[in-house]
Amino acid sequence: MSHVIAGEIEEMGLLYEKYKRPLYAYFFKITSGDNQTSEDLVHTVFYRAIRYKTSFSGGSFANWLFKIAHNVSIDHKKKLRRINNYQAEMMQGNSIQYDDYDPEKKEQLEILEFALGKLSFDEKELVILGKIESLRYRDIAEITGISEGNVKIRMFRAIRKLKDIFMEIEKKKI
Amino acid sequence: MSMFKKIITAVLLSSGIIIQTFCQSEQLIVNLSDQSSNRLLAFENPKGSIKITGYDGSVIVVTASLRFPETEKIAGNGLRKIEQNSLDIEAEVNGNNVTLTCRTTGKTVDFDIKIPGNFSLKLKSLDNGKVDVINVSGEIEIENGNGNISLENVSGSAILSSIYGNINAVFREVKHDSPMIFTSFEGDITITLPETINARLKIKSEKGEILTDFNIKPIKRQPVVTNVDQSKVYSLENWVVGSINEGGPEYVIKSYNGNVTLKKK
Amino acid sequence: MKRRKLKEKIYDLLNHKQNRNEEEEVINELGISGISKEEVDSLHNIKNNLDKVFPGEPTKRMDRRFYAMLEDEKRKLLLGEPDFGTTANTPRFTLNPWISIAAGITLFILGWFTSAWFSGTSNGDVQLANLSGEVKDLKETLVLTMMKQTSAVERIKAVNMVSEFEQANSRVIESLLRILNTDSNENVRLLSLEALIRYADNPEVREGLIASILNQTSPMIQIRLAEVMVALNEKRAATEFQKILEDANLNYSVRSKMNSAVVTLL
Repeated sequence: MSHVIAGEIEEMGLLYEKYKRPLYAYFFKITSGDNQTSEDLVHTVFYRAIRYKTSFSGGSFANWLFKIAHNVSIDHKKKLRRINNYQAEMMQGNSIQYDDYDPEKKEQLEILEFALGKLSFDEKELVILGKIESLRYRDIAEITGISEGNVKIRMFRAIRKLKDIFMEIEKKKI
Repeated sequence: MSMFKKIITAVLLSSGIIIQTFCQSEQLIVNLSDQSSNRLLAFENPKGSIKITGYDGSVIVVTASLRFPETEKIAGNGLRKIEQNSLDIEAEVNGNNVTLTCRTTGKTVDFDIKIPGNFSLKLKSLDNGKVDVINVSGEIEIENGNGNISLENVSGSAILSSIYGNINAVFREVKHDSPMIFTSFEGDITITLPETINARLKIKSEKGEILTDFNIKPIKRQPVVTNVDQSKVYSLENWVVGSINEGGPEYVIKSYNGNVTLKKK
Repeated sequence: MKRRKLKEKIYDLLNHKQNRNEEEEVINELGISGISKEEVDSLHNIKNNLDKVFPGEPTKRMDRRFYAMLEDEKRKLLLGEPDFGTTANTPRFTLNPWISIAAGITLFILGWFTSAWFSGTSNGDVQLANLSGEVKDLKETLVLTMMKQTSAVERIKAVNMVSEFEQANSRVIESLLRILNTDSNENVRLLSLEALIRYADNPEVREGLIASILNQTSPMIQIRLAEVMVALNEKRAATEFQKILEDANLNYSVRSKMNSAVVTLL
């Protein structure tokens, strides 16, 4: 009966309101600060969610939506092969968003931005997902399709790589 | 360049009507207040062709020229006659909609219009010209009685009809839930679509051929039953009905005397 | 064994999945196994700053797009349209408010009826029957509204939807005839003719079709009308066709078709 599906459509509205910000933040960091693309990709996530609502088989809504987001990221990455060059260009002009911080902190954040861009997609995604409060290791494992043990190891290595890059640049500045 | 002076009267009224009167060829720039999507340009050219090119800008640039330029008229006493008011063009901007009107009577005026790429179009050429649209994304509606219609690198949807002209349309992308209709009475219809589209096709050519390199899955035709007096008449309308990929919105392509060709991009 | 366990603790430390005491404990253990506190601190620092990197807020535009898509889905659900695959990310046009309202009203009614149904009232069956009547009426209202839209695509969708009605009542037939006679777009007029032909057994439709013959100037439509009248054996149409044949500028294909139609009918 159509009222069941009608209810699911309304529910999608609630899911949107709840998860639109975390999903946007995820894409915004993955795309190194591209607002337009991030909005497009969030839209794609919900478009697929509505289309394939039958793929949801219980469990956490967050995991389901982020799994879709993970797939959307990969599809997007395939489309843009030259993203690394583009990102490097984007790096230069992004300091406006850190004007509220003192100059030292601002510089730190800019270096971190750059370092993030140096990570591989997989490394970057793990780091970003790791920062989402509500996601545990086992959630991230479900989302990315990696074993929980591997999630922990790779995430640690990615953060250490970030730190190494960061240190290297700081050293050069002195 | 003609030796006639151009007489330009620009009157900007509060409701956004821009009127310019001029002679051989003139350019009219229409500022758009609204930069949103869902914008529409409506234009009916009583005599002449229409060419629309999408570009990456924010105003509409209309260039109109007489196809057959007026020759100088000598009045006799050493004076030249200045042609006044031979072209009369008006553009009205009403929120999202721009309506262009050409009131030149009897003369063939060709229009070359540059427009921001995201725009829907509603165009008609009544006589003596072809209609070309390039690089536009939106709902495209064109009626051309005598001339050809050509769409190049467009995305969105199209509803095109011509009586004596050919129709040639190349789509970069299609809007996923929009139906389309292409009809020409005498002319050939050639449509090029992206290989991955999902659509349902209804194609008919009374006297011509249907050619395609698409893989069209036939759909079983349902007979149309009509009651005639006491008996029923079952007729199978002789359309080719089929689906491409997963099926989808209906594209109707019909020519009476011409051929229909459907190509993959 | 201990080494692995320690590593796990480092990971958890970085992700704040431990309490304060456990943190202290791990840091001490790390000191023993050769990973310096400085290193752990700097890793912590990086992790903390990651919050602040790439801050960004979505715009209201994202909300608008989503809700437009949701309305679209509701409308499709209401009209029983099957799910079609997507081709590309083309811009979506926002729905006319009337359509949203019609869809919204229907969903409201659906909701009201079904909650009563679930509460186990004895006249649940009657309510269900009323429900399908209500939905039919709303479908009709929706179609009629769409027929008045300025977008030709909306009018075409409306005419296509009518083809799915088993019977067309007066209101719908009137609208289709109005489109056949007055729509500014030739293709839309052609489509409405095709839709009307399905109901040709209805005398109202036949009268309307015959009356429209003189209004039509498109050769495609003229020929189709000639074919239909012959199939229906409608003698009354012959006089109308004869009037058209008097026009010297008539397209030659139309002329020959209409001539043979007149001959067949009389």
